[in-house]
Amino acid sequence: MRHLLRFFPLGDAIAAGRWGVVLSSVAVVALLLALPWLTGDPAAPSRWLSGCESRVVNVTLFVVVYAVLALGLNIVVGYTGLLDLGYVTFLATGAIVTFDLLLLVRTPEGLALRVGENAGLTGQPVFGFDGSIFVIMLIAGTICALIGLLRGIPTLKLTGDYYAIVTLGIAEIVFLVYLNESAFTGGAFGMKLDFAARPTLPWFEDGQWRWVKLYHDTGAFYLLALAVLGLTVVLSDRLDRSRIGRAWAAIRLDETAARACGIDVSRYKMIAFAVSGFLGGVGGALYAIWAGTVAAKSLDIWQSILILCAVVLGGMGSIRGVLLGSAMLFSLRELLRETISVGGLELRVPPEASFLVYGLLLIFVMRFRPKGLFPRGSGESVPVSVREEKELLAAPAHLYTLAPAEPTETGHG
Amino acid sequence: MTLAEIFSWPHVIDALTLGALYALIAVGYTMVYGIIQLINFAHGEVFMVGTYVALLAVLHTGMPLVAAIALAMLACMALGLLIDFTAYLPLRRRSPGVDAVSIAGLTAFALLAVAYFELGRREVTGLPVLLVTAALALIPLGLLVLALLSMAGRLGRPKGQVASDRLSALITAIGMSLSLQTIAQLLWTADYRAFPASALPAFFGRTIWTVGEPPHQAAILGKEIVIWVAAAVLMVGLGALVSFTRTGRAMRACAQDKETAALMGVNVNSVIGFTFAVGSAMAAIAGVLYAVKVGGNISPRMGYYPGVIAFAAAVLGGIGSIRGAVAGGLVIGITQSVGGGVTLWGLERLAHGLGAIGWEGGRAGLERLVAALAPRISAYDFAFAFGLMILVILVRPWGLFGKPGGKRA
Repeated sequence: MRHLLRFFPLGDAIAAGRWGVVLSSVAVVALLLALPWLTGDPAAPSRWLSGCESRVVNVTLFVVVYAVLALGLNIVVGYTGLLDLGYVTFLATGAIVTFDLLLLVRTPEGLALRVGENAGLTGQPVFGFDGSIFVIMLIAGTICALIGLLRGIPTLKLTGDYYAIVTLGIAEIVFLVYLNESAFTGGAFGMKLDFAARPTLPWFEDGQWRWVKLYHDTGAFYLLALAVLGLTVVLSDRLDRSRIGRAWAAIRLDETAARACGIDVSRYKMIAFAVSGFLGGVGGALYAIWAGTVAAKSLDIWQSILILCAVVLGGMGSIRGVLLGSAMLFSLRELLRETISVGGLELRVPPEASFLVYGLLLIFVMRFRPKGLFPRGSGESVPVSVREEKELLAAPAHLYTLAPAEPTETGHG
Repeated sequence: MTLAEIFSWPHVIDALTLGALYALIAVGYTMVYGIIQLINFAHGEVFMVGTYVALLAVLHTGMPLVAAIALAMLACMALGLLIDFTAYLPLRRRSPGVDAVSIAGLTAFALLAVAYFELGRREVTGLPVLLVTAALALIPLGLLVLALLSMAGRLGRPKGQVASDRLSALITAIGMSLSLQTIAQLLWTADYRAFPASALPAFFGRTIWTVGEPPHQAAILGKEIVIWVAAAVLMVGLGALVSFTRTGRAMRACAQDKETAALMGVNVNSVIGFTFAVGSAMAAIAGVLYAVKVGGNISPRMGYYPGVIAFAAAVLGGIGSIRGAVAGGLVIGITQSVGGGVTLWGLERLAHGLGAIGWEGGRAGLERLVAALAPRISAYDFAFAFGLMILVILVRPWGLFGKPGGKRA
């Protein structure tokens, strides 16, 4: 029975009796679901729905979308220990693919994209069917996973700085392509979703199910984003605790040793690239719907750095850390826009200065807490099975506490 | 398009000028990387700050360009030292007091930059602006004194070495780059600016020689000669500094083995600081000359692309080698100026070949592609430089002119 438990979220924590972890996780999920109700207008016909338009829920939504992206980046940066500076490629590709699919119309002359000079075109949207968002997210994710694999072929043997700089170079080339090939990205002007092109989600309202258009202030999109984040957390967690996750940990700690232990380093790295790309693509799709416009110009390398900043702040490789890091960083971004009144003096951080905060954060976190504010630690991810863990815990302490190695007599021969 | 058109004089001159500038930036990367194995992402921002210092000096005091460049070099040497002192030194060496002061200084400077921006936005003038500006000038000066004292070993003994991993150092460098870029935007706005024509010597715009035959005739302007000569002189001088002086010997020793060098009595941290300063001075000159060459491109983001491309040049020539940086800079410069033309030419040849083997559909398709690409291929010039960088890292990570198994990034 207990062995079955570990296949479910929080199963390990339940089996190990870490009730604090279980309760706090359940509380966070409940809070997120109840958030629109809490911030809603009590007088409105649906308090929960009215809350979806509140500022708090909007900021939370922003955090949730970026948390999906940050968890995707965390797969490569946190688990395999490779610094991916080109993650924005997946975000941009996911967002652009999403828009392209939504703006694809069938005209008497054939298929056409309502982008750029075709923007005024009318026709039957190919992805106008109800519930198309799921198909679109899958397509965006799959394309990005393929890009991740393709990008993995040349970068497979690289580590450290070289991996970072090559991913940065590839991202810059992709950025230039998206900026200049305006036929399918809208170029410098970008793309916009009009009402008709918006995807739909089923929704229970006024006693019946019907399809509602997805905007960032609809409850449907909020639930969709939460569901995607939930699945991403479960996926990351399961991967981290699986054979694949242990292989990633081995690669992160010492690639040569991992290879010597018979781990197929190339294969496991490729899996990481694909999963990371998939999550980036899905996150990009969510981002596109949330933003309502996509401009290739704004999806530049600093988006990579921004997401990296969330991962680094929370703690590379720690799911809890990445989630909290994203929550802190992206709600901070909203807080920075507030004006604080102190003794008649209006204080405000100018939007131009927001990147200064991220830059200094990167320096300070690396200086004082290089493992992040919520590092991967004892509370998370014990890479042993539940049974092994129980045996370990049952054994006398000295058997599993690693003592510092005794200096040997024949040390320097 | 024929190869003669692609490698015509205007392109060649452009390539040589770009190459000389990239080489000047690349030495900063290559020397720092050679010693502490860190991609100093903030080097592109040093390049940007140098240009701004020279521009502001010219605009506000009307000093001649040469003096402005000298001032920019001094400012950038100080900036290079400060970057090392506030960001990278704390990662190498534990010395809590000094770290705390340097980091507090960095934070205070950032806050003041925000305050300066806000005062400007609210059109406040007079005493508050004066105070903030004075503080903005005093903090770096104070930190600089600390940095120099620390280099000279006058700040007490550090508490020990920190085994910081390279990922941390790289992320710190990115953070520094981002911070400097934003601070520059706060202090000097994001507008594009240029050196006023009146500030540049008349010699810069004069045609010195005319080469080639019409229609591919090219004029070699005075500024291009200045860039070539400056780059050549500086590179030879730098080579001599590294090869023949006592400091240069210390630098080479540190690049080989920092611990052994320290045991031989070399003050490793001061050598590293010196390396940052020299590289930054080169970047300052490159920045001013780059702004003179391109014209109207001075902005807080101007350092990013040349910075990354120059790193590519450093890798290309073999990291750690000054001669390599020159060669790499030239190769990257050529790739950037003619990459688009060569690609179009190659596609045309391919289309021709497909036609020759009788596949008309393929030929027509490729020709359509070439026709569609031709107008915007010049927008991809940086993509070719990045592409070459990726190729070199994948195929010859020890650089074009290094030896396999030699020093690699």
